[in-house]
Amino acid sequence: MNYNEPLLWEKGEGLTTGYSFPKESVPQTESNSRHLRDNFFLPSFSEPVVARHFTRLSTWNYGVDTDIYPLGSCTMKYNPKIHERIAQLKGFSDSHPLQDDNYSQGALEILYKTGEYLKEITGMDDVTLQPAAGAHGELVSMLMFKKYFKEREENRTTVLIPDSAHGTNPASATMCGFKVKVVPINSDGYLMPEVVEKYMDESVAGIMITNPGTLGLFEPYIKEICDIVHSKGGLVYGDGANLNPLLGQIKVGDCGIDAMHINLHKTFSTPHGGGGPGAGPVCVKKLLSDYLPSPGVKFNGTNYYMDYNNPKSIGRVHGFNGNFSVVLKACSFILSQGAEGLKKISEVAVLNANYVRVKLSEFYHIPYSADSMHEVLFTDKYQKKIGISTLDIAKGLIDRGIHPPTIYFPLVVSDAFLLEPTENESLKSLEHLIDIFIDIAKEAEYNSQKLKDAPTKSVINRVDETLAARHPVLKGEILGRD
Amino acid sequence: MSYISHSEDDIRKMLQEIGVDSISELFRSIPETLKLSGPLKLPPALSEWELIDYMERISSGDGVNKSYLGGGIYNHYIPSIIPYLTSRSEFLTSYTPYQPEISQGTLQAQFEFQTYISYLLGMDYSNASMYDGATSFAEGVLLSSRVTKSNKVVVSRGINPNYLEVLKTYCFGAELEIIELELDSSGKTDFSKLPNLEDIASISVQSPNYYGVIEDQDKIRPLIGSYSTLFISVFTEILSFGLYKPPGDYGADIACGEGQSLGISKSYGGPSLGIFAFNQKYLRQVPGRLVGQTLDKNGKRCFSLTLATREQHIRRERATSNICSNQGLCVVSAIIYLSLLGSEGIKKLAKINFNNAEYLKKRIIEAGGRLKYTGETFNEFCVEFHQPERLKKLEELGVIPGYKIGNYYLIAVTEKFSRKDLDEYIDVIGGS
Repeated sequence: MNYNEPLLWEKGEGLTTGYSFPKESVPQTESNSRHLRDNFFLPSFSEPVVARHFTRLSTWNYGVDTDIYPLGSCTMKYNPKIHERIAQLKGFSDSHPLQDDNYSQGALEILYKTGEYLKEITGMDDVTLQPAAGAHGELVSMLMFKKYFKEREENRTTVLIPDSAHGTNPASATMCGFKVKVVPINSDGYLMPEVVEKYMDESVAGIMITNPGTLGLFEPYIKEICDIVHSKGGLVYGDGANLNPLLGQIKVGDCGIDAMHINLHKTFSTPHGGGGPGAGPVCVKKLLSDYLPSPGVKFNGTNYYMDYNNPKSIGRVHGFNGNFSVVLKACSFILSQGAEGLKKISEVAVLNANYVRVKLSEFYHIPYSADSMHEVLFTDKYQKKIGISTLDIAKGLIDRGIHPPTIYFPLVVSDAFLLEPTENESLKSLEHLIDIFIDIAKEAEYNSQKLKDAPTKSVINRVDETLAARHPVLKGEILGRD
Repeated sequence: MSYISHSEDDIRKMLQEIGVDSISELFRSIPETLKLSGPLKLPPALSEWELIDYMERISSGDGVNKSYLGGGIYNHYIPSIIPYLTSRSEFLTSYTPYQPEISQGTLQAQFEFQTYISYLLGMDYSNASMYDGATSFAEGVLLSSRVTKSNKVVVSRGINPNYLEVLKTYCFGAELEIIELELDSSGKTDFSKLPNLEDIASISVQSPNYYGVIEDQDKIRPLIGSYSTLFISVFTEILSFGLYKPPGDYGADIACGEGQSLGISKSYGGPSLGIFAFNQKYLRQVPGRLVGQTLDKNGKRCFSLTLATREQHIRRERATSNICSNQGLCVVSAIIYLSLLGSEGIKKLAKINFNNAEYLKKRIIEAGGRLKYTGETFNEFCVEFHQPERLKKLEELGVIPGYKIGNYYLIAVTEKFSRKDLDEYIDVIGGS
């Protein structure tokens, strides 16, 4: 059904309440402070009105439970429902971060064990669970690099970043005062050792590498590249955005990576929540352990505890213990999968991506010929000739009931779209997706205007995003009740 | 428990179509030397009931019946409708609203959040959230350095110490120098040692501060005068703005802090809700996601992410921040909470918190306790007990009496405590 739902402040006077106030049992205290607030007004509504408002809004959203959500680089896999139940267990949800460790043994056990599991999965030596997101983990890693060289009294000012990297990489490096030097990938989509060698010298703190990269390809020379960087005294950061296809296949640590973040909301299946919260733990090799954020979680054989004795640490990066309940859900996922389950995930994720690749290769341009890992990169090259863009293709998908892949990313390939089915899509679901893409490719030829007009079946039609930026309206006007 | 739907037959068919003999062939681009020869050493996979059994068992000893802990995360009641609505898969399992046509639910909710937060804080605008209060504060300080091109920042020692630690971490990266201002005997920031503001990027003050004291934020604008120094107003208890003046009333440039009090569970400290509100002149300098109103092709009002040219995916190393997500689901919790309460509810709830805290404070003083600071407070205060050993008895009853800071206890009293609870507290510690 297609219906309108006004903004909260357009829903009538807003003078009722949906909150059940406790009885006021203590005497009133009057204050004559000069800091008391003057009157202000925000509308409120009864619970049924609120329930209906947000339920109606929710139906305008598309989620993983709606259908395939093939956003490349986002790993939109199914979110098991048991995790939500676990996160709401009173012992976890009601735990205060400042309560003594002896009141938090369960939560600490989760943090400690998740750390141990992540170390095993990545082949790294140590871990922090404080970072609240992948980009936050990148920042933590760059801060550790900075501290590492400061301790060694080496003045290294530059970080190398391939041109295919996520935008967060250069942004994170810059926040730590590093200059960014962009390293080009070659025409096969690979980062080449001889190119890295050219850029690598004693002024370079390290390199940030996403592997598999944003083109969906495994970097075959990763080990050689790490060796080159290490030989000049640099460090290697591994962006773990695309860890899913590596589960149980390789240990990232064996490649020579010194620090990497892991997006728990991607690989370990915690819900994306319309943009977050996620979690971005960072795993490191021994040489960086001392610099990890403080406190860390330790186990003395009997009890779990927060360890604040980290004199070389970069310090705290989160107000409390990171996004604990996200870590809890990821821990649940690892426990329900086991080693075999995780390996099966990487296998099927790669199988699904390659199946889509093969089935669509005739209809959409594939810029790189190497095998795909868990995601496939296409461009609109074939369609562009007849005036249809990646954006039109995306909007055509919406009219056919499917969420588009990541579009215009990575920037290094023009008009790209990156499609990641994840392991959770059945063969039937993939075939449905493939049929739809083929249908769009055909429509581009015989009825291209329809694609340019798309979407027409969604609750709103194509959005004017330029207008939003040109005349920013970032809040509504709530009329006071003076 | 597997969440994969493929039959062996499906896999065979797919391999055939791809033109390979086995799945391992699909991994041929990975050098053989890197491939694992054996399985990962992880515990054997648990069934759903084994998993819930384990989780129930280890969590059963966590937390306590009654806790007077605050210090940045508060023990407020969460209306049942909030987790109910946020568990709807359309909110829970969607991602960043990159495709506005099928994300209007998230976008409208976030626009409503930005609006309510702007009004609640008395600020021009709010973004669509940051990781948590501490990182939001750190980003606010980084912004001040960017716009003033100055690398010295002044902060009050009344700011939550964890927030100050996070700031120090960020400032190590950004190479900023932090100058701290001490508190006076009333627990308010002592501005008498404020340095010359010529090269100071910002002054940051938290109110209510870490010790619960309401700061004299009205002193700050006059102190800044015509200097370009930014005034950053920090908060950890957003509910206080139902009783006390919000940052905007004091002319804050940035208001940043924690929104966990707005219907978000404590969850051992996260996820919570970083709030970032600002004066419109910094619109193009702010970190994080912004939702804006616009029109669709037919002229119908709708919403989309906007001003993305500030952000890392477009601007890369010149972005205003590296942040690439927000706390989307926590934003939905907060706007549901705010729509249930509105201004009248927030005022009423704030007053209940204040009354309860004042009552317990008064009774503790009557019982021989001593306030660390004399300044007025909201729902949290800092006391030294006459006979602190008696607090153990409270713990035996499953009550955490507060957060110990040296000889003092920081005590947060919310609407969740009845007079009976508060009287019990006094009875146990030996009140009159």
